[in-house]
Amino acid sequence: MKTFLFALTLMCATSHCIANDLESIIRNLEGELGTAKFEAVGNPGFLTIEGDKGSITGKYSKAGGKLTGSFDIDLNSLSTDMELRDEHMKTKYLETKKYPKATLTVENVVLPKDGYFKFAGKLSLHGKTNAASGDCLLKEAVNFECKFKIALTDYGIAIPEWKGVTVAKDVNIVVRVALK
Amino acid sequence: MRKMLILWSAWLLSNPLFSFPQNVRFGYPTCASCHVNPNGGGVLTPYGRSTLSEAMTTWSYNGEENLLYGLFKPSKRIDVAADVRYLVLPEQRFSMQKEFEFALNWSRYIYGVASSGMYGPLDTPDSRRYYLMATDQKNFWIKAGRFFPNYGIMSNEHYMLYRGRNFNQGQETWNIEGIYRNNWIEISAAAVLGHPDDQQFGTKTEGFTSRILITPPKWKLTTGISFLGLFDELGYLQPYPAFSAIWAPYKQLWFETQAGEEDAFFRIGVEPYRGFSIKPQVEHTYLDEHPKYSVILEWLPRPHFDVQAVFESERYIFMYHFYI
Repeated sequence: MKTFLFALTLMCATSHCIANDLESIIRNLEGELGTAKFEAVGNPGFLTIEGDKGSITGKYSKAGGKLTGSFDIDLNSLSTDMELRDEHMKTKYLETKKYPKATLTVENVVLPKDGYFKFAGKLSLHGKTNAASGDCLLKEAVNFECKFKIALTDYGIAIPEWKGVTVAKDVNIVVRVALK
Repeated sequence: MRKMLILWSAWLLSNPLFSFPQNVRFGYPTCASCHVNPNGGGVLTPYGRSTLSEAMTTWSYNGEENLLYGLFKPSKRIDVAADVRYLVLPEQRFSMQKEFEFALNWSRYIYGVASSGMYGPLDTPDSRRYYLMATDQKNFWIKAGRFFPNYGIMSNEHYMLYRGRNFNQGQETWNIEGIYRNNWIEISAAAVLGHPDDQQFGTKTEGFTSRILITPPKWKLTTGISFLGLFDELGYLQPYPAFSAIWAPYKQLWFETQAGEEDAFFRIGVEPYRGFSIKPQVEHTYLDEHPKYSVILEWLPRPHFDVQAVFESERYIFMYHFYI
């Protein structure tokens, strides 16, 4: 009886380990993961320009409570809800024909069970790569909302200007990702 | 009775200044992006014209919003406006406003603005706005001349809250005004130095105004308190405080309210189709025994033209507006 129980426990423990390995492997899949949005300020008037619906795909792995991944933001899917502004954003400034996506990569980011944490990674945008860091909120172990700020000039993006209204060089990015 | 109706209607709809604070729903918490006058109304900036086409009119073609439908190329040095407003009542029709305004600028930091026109059923000539203005196009504005100083939120229909408080058509005063603005707050103060009619009528329109507006980014909200203080004949200050707020939780829905000590109005704005809005409202002023209910239908079909219909319990008014 004792031997049987010991074997059963051993089997269960082994299965659990195998399951954990399977967990990190299975999640190393590509798929649509979330959306990105940005917030910029224009002057005069401190108008708020919001762009959203930027779809995110990518691949990631989670092992030992750490996240490593590469997340692509489709810049052509971004929308500020004004046609002409979207056209200028994509053709004149982001040049999405040449640079259709922005990529955020993170490596071994330590994840809490849930709650706020800091992240650091790299953002590739408009042909340039720079360090990117900010704050994240993790809910239910899989839903991430991460915020960080970039300077347009760091990515070789001309400061947007239209008919006397100029956008500030710092833009806030919010990335929402649900890891399956 | 007819004269009263006409005068009342003229009061009701006349607004030489034409601004859309509900554009907070597009991320515009103040008027400075679209209007040369940071208080709102009057001549549009090139960006303001562009916003009309992009966000406010039902239809438009590229460039249609430009001066005279693009007949003239946009100029960096001068912004021009010319407005005609025509009122239709059951008994009569007449033009309320025929006005020309221009704003000359030096690198958009220094402005000289002037207007001239004929107003009301009697086509009374007047030059209601002329001022010099300096701005850094971000945080600071200073203006000196004749204009309406900041008070409340400049709305498309300038209701009794303001008309009864020295903001009726033709009541633009001589002022010196300073404005500071950042992402969250706007503070302005003006010294009111008189009115062109003071000498003729022996009146004294002197005092000051101040306004604090809070505009939390992303909240699509502009709210604040204003204060108007005018000295009476005995030299005592008569205070007129007011609260105002406009909030747009959705692009197609907004709420607007303004209230003083004896006046208040509340309005809901709904835009079921771009350019067409329905605005039911209730207003109660110191002149009214009972609150007044009305519905405003407004349509901006294309740049340069809009129509407005006001339905109250006992009358209707149509207004047609054309601008170059």
